[in-house]
Amino acid sequence: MWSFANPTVFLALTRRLLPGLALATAGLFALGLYLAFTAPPDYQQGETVRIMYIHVPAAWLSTFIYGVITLASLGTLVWRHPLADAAQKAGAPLGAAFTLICLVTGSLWGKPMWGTYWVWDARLTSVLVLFIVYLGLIALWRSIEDPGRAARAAAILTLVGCVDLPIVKFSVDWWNTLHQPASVFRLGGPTIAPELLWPLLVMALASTLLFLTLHLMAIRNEILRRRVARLTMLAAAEGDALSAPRLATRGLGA
Amino acid sequence: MMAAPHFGFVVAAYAFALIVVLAMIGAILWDYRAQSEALRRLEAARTGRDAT
Repeated sequence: MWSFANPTVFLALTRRLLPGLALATAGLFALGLYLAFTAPPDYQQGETVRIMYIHVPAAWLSTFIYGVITLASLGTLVWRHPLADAAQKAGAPLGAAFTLICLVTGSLWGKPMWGTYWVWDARLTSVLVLFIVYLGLIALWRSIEDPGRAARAAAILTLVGCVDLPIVKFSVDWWNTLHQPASVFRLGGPTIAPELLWPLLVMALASTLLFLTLHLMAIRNEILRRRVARLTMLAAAEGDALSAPRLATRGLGA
Repeated sequence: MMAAPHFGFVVAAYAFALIVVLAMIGAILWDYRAQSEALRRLEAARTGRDAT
């Protein structure tokens, strides 16, 4: 298991895994979209219920990705492993993107169902806070030049932001909100009809595979970025005739 | 289905999700190309220097 944490082994592994993962993701999305648009409309919401098939997977992923980043942050703080740094850096923009999809599609679902695009209700507000935490993490990564220091600072912010996860999950139980309570992962089983549940589960699996594929690709990019930075510094230190003057000029101009 | 009330909201939601997903994929692929190109250039320069 630990051998996969070696960046070179990881690069070789992603090279083998990515084509299959991308193909499986595309196939599952094709099946999920077919099921989503052939499923019967909801007896109350009508066709509008089809927004659920993208909104709910995005909502699940917004918290799932934060969990992944939190585990990577522990890897950074406890083992100071460069792959853990890369995993948390690569995950933040993906988490922000899925949270944005969740917020916007939820808003587009809310207007015809609740009569408003937005209310400052506990679930919606806590997800907005999650989105802001993701943006904060991206900003932090971009503002600290030394990747090791940036990783440690981002890891601490990630662990602090973790407080929001139970609030997102249980907000619908703790407070009176416009948002409906949990209807899939709950004690007593799902309350959704199987005709609507199956397309939802397939779309959720497709979205999770999409995240996994993009996360592996983004981690690979981070490993390459570190190699580029190391080689650039080596070239500058050795007085490379091509690279060093270009770096010096850029430094003076900044 | 398309004549149903509020179907525009369904289309808008799927279109937005598609745009964000395509933007994510595009950004990651573009970054991969940029990093691979930079790495190839640096390694070529290094190999050339070691040879001399």
